[in-house]
Amino acid sequence: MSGTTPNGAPPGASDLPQEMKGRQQSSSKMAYMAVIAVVVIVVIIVLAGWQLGWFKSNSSTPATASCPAPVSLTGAGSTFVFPLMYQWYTTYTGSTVNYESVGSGTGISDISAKTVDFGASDAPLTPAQKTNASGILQMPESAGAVAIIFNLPNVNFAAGKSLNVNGSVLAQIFLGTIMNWNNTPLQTLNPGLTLPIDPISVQHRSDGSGTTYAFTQFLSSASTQWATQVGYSTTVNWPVGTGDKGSSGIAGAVETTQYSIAYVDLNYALNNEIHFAAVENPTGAFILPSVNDTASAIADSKDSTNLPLGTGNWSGVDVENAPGAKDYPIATFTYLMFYQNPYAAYGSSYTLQKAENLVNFLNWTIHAGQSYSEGLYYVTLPSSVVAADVVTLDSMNYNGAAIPQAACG
Amino acid sequence: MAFDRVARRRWKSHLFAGLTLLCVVAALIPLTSIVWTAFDRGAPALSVGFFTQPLPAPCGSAQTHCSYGGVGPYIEGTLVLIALSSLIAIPIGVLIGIYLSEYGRRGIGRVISFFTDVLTGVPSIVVGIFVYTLTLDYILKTGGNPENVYSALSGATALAIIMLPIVARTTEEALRAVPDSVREAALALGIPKHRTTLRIVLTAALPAVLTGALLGVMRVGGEAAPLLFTAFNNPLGYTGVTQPAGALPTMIYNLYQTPYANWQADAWASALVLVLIMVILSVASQIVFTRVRRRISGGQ
Repeated sequence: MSGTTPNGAPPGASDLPQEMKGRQQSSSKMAYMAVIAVVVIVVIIVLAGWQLGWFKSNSSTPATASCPAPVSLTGAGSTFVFPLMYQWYTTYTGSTVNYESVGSGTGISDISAKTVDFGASDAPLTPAQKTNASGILQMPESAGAVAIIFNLPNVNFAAGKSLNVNGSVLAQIFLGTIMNWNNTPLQTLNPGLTLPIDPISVQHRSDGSGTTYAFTQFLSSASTQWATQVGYSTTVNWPVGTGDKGSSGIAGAVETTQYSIAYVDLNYALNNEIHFAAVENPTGAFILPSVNDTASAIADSKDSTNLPLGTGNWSGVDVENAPGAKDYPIATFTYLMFYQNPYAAYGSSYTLQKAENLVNFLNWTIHAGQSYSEGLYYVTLPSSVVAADVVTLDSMNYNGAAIPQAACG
Repeated sequence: MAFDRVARRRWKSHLFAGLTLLCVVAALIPLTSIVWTAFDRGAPALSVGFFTQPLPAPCGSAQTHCSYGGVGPYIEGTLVLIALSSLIAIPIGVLIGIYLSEYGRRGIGRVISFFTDVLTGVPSIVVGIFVYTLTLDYILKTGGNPENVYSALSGATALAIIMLPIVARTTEEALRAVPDSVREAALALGIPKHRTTLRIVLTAALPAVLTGALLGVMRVGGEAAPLLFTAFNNPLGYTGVTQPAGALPTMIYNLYQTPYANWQADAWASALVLVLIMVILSVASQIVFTRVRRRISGGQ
């Protein structure tokens, strides 16, 4: 047929451009689909590559021949110990450690549910929590102190001096029986100062906290009324005061509330240069908290040479009110928790190699790891506590057999 | 008289234009404030090293020189988590939207639609705990190691569950906005319903569907709560779907709580980086959408 185009379409000026346009459209759509397909394939290849470790440099350096190949260990819990833990696991090369700072309470529930290799908590396990996680061990891996912080405008302190407080006065303030700054017992402790008549604004933690545990334990031993009416725990029913979340919440509240008083980790107070009070120790001296005076306090405390076994009950351990002349009285441990027999706890998929990684890392934290404490304002463990921790680590086993230990990293 | 009325109307018009402008300014205040605060407090950390160096040791008031860094692996982790959750949520969400708009306009469809809305309102931490519990339960039933509960995959699953209802509902609305006459025209030409839906209705609504997907990505990109119990944390960022993964929001959450000035500056700078990532994703997808839209309208 004459007059038809090669592809059989009838001739017509108006039809041709439309057809071309249609073809153009479908070819551009094809190109579009091709681009999508390529992108999807590239994404899959990249993900697979990641999975297979193409993009990671293999820079594992085994320390000695007896060290197991490094594996990944996970831990969770205490926000207080997180900075020190970070310093530890970035320095230690024997294993890849992955720590999530979700709070001591979650740390305990995570290790109880066996979703992590170790939990970290600023308060020891309660007897009920211990029965919940059979075969669990706990050991102190670091220590801290509780600082008393306050906001007293227009009160000038002599150099090296601060507000003087003691356990009995603090208990009365937090019970609400001392309500004003110039109340006689408080004024008597501070003879050189003119304290204002203004009411004391009490601030405390609203969330569960190891700092609250240590502070209320100190108040309980100083005041029988506090011990019977409130007691000590990570959270208590506060008779008076305002609650704030976390150390940062407490510090912020004291900074902005005139005539307020609160307690916070010494570590937090020192790093943020917050003013803190001198606390009276059993020898009658008023001590401004420092890392060294807390370390000596823990070494001098009667419980530090008489610690329970790793399997024992730590909830009664008290390292406060040490008898030394310069000892700061409100000291506290922070704990790591893990299983004595990982094979029995986690099942057969938990290899001996991983158990070796775990025990070597824990061993490193209480020995070489302690040297990083002071620079970050954590308290170095005294040798008596390290010795007790070594007994705990030596009691670990893998399905009945001792776990080989080596100094790695 | 007439002039008076025109003047009054013009004045009223100006008044309302002014009021709307005021509202726009009021809405922009929080955004600028967030960006400025993050920039101001994160300024010491912002440098090339912030992206290339690992997270430095914490720096207390005793140290004189503080270093910053460590955001790199967490950017990687966040991008991978967003990609994985999009791979899960967008196809499923679009299919749900197609069902709701094209097949289930009444009866069971309305029930599904209602529950999709309810899912939007579930707090993200609850979604995290839900995925955690479900994964742990599955692992314990199959006799696996409970430690495997924390993985990039479970993190992405939690994020996908948060994303899903947003994608589904925006897809549904986008498809409904396509006039019925378009569907009728296609059906009248003898095109089967599934092809009408996929090739004509979905294509016409594609820019709006993609906007919905982007909204979902924006929603989950800044989530920290659901990741705490699922993706956990990983200083190396992303190391595999079955391994824990680090993400920017959880990094910010962890670092801000610490007493160290350099880590807090790192947290603020990371917040700024997170906002910038969202802006870049948004602008990039706007460019792609415009292309898609031009291509679709160019074909008509």
